[in-house]
Amino acid sequence: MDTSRSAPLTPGGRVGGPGADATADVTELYRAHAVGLIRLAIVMLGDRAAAEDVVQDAFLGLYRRWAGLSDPANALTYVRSAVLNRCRNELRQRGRSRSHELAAVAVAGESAEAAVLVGEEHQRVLAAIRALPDRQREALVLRFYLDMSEEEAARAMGISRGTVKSATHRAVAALGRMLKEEP
Amino acid sequence: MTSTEDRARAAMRAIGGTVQGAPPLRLDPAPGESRSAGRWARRTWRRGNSPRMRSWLAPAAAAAVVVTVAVTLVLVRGPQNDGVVPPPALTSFGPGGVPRYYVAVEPGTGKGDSPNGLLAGDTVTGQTIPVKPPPHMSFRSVTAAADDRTFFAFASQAGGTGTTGLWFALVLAPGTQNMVTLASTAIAQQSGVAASALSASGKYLAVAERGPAEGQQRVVVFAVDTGRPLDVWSTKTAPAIWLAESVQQNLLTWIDGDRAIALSGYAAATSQASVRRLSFPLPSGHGDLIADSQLIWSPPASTQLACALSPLVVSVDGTSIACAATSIQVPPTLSGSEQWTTSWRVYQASVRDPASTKYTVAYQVTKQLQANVIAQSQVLWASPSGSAVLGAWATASIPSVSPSPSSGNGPSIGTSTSSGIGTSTAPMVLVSGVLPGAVVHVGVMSHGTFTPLRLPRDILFLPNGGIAW
Repeated sequence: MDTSRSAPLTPGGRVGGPGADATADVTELYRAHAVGLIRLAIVMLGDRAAAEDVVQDAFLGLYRRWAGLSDPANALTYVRSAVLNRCRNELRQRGRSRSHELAAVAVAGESAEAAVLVGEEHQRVLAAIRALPDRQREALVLRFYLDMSEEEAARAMGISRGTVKSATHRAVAALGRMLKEEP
Repeated sequence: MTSTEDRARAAMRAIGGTVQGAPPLRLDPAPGESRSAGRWARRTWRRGNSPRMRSWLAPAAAAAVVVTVAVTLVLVRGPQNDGVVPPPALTSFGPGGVPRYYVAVEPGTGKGDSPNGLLAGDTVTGQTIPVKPPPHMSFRSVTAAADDRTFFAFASQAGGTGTTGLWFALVLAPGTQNMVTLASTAIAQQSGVAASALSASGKYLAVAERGPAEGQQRVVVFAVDTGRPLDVWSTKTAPAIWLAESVQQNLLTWIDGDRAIALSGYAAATSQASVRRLSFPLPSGHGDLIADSQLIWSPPASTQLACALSPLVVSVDGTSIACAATSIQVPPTLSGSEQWTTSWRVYQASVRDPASTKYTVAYQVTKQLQANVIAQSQVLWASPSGSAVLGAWATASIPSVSPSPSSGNGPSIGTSTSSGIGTSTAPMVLVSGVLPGAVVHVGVMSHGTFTPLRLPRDILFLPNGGIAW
């Protein structure tokens, strides 16, 4: 039995920092969900290294805020939102030009392997997804990649169900236009 | 042509599938190292130090992948469970978003009581690995979790009725020495089993089975880790809602992850087709199969008749129901050929409008059949959005058609007075399994296009859960 799960989820050990319980719990959470979250991030960013970085940062943020979590059961929701936020920031920093997106996929170490594996058609679609406005892109990824219901996506994004619905609809329409316009 | 939504799903799954592991978690950056500094140092190392280095990394990585694939393909060999190294998972999905790996019941030889085994297969490469049944057992049906790796197979005593038995867990580990692992489960032997379905997470198994009371039918959800029954829906006063000898495939489908079960069936008393939604978990643990479920599809008789010979396949989001609808135009003279048409239809399931007859056609085939030629068709899988289905059809010449009892193994032929739609009044032929010499077509159907897939013909046209993705 993993005793770390049954231990009280309170900070301990060092003053002013997370304790052994937090380390065990966050590590356990990372073991269980890191791969899925890196997959989510690579869908958003197209870059394996950047995806691993945002997930690492998100878990570090969770670890630092562990004591302030009102309910540790919400930790996964928290860290998923953190990954989405960091992906959004990363894309904004990149400037989100399509040529940059395609270049990022093509030149970035392990992403080159990914680019080979996913194929040209998928790369085109992924580049188009990353060119969508933030909300549309996130709604699309949560609904169609994570297969979240509209309610779940609304909770994860902090918006209403209706907004998720319209954002998803617009995302599909915009994506269709972008892909159609390509030569 | 594939829809935008499907293209988006396929692209996201393809790139997501390239991630197979995570680096170790670093919770405490070294003293003096800022988060961002460490992060960027790591990224610089990963990406190479110069534009020149970057420029050859992409082709080098591509070459490495090609070499890996080539080496792996050389290593794939052998028919038995040991010594087989299938190709690693390059992506998690095949053409049209079909999950890459499947497991199917592999019919025995038909001689004596030869048991059914299993066949684990790769939709992308066409590679298969046979799995032998445990001693004195014969596999009857298969169901899959959503991870494309975990399957449960129902097995009963070889030569028995096939409705009393146990479940075995089959786990695929592509790219490893032990590609297939078969293990017993904690769920006790059950009797009167009509169908079973593993939840998306693999934590729950739903079983449609005969209840203890006369004529009673029920759906039980078991916890996979403990084997304990958690929730039970029973027909208390209502009539049975599926036929005892139903040809229905995928009678049970988990939908919306682990949150609900779709139960499809033809009522024994009225032959009324229906699909009901059972929300899980039940507040009290016990419920009525009719009163505590929602009708999401129950179309008019003409629609039911069109799909009567085809299993209904419910998509994993519970919004689409696919079937192969067949019509036959009988010639004016017995010596003429008849026109056989099958369209793979996708209906929309809805609590608000369960009687909806609206559907889209994924693909349609029309053949002129001579008197000694029979045809069959089926749906094997439907995409979450319902815009693509995996379907099959086959035509075969037979010397003569005569009713014969089903032997349980291998192809069997019987007759039905069901007339399908159109003008036919002649008996239709029901075939279980593919007849020797049949010409078989199987592939992804979407928006009128057909993309062939390499699937073994022996695993097609099997009744009741014969294959699972």
